[in-house]
Amino acid sequence: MHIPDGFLSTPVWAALNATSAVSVGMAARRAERGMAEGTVPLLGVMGAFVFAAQMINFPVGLGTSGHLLGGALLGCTLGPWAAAVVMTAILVVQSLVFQDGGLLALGANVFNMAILGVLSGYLPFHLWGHRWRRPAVFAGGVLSVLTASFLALLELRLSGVPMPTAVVGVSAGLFAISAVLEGAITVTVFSAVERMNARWVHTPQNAGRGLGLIAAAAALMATAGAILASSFPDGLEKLAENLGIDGRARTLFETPLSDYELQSFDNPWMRKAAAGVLGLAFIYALCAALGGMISRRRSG
Amino acid sequence: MHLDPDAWSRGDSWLHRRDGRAKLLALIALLAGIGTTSAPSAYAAIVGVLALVSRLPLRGIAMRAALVLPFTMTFAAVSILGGDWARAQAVIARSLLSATVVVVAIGVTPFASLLRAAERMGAPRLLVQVTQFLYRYLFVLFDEAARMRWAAQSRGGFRWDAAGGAVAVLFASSYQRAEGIHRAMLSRGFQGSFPAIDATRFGAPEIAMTAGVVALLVAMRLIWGV
Repeated sequence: MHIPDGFLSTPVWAALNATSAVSVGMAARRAERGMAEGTVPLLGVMGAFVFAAQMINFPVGLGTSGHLLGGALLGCTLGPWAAAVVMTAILVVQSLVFQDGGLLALGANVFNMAILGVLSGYLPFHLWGHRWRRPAVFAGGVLSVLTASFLALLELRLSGVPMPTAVVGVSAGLFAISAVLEGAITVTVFSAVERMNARWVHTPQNAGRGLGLIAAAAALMATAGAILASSFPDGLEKLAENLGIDGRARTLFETPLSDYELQSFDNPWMRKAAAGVLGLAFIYALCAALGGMISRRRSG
Repeated sequence: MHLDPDAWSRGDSWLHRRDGRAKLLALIALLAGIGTTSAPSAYAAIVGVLALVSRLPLRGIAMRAALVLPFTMTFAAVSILGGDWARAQAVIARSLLSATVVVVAIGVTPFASLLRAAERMGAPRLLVQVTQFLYRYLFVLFDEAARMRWAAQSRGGFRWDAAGGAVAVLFASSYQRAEGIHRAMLSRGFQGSFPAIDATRFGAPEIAMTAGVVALLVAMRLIWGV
């Protein structure tokens, strides 16, 4: 789900652009560390591969079909940091050349799909890939789509885009279907690739049990936080009030239809958005800590 | 045949000749203006003037900007069903204007120059180089995938396993293509960075353009409040 420009409120897109800029810089440095010669063209061509692979349809029945989205497959083949860079490059080209996703919203889309989407798509493979390979790759595909789409929904909701329960329900259903589809496609392609050449598959170092538990807990907390935040925005408002965040910056940076928002005092967008950004920052800190542990583990 | 995204950027206009960094800065400033205003329609005039100055085909610009409509209309429909016409209009105006600005900016700047500008403004070098390669081989791999799809269609379409195999074959050939590309680059003396083809610099017109856009936006916000 690529968010175009014009939907996210200023605090949300600004915070996510900052977050993504830092994350992508970090991912690029980690990917460059220990990168073999000739990897740059490889990463670029694999990005083009993900684009092209979307032309190949997987029949689902009833005359419909799906295609590869690629985040988890890239993570399990190129490694998570390189995959995050490739996915970012894909989103840049989609936004600029194909008008798929906005430019101010690029930070949000990168955060959803290239950072957390790729990391959550890679996590099961890292933890359980050596023992339960196929289930882990499948879970990665499912997780990457669920994470990315729920984050997008959450950001839109925090920006004050109206979301009746029916819309949330229908989108959740569609997300679940496309997530399972992505898992199935990822595992099919991954197995075929591994049969052809095992060298093309990323080999995670044996992850310790403690790390696995922490990682699983962090992923659970992040997911639960996202779901909670989207279903109980009032709770977020309370949090913002308690933290003393106020809507003082309103006059300079107004959100879509600020008059409408400002008139209804029981719906102060600034507090909601600020609280949401805090929540996202929290999730991000978790992921950064997790990523740090994984990479130290691997290099150490 | 497929589209050629750089067909427009090979043209010539005052905007075409400006340095990529100035255009990137002006683009971001304009998008931020449209993204933070409460009256997006007020920016239609600026966007219109830019489109005219760019000397790009106006119908083409409109058609490419309209690519955002499926997403936008879905959410606008939700607002309309909720009886909130004003919000629906604002969302449509905001997303269409933003998309138009991006289409014009990318239409007057070759993709390579835009990436080079981003690199000179601090984007990670690895990301810039990966994006360059991605863009360069995008249509090569599109063609390869299209040939595989035609072949499959001529045999009655993909079954699940066949589609998986096809994507895996595409993966394998991409991997091997990348190795070949790297060897070819080394044999031609590649040193780790691409030489710049365009030799533009951030001169007086660039400063004037960037400052003008920013000044106009600030004036709009502070004086007219839009």
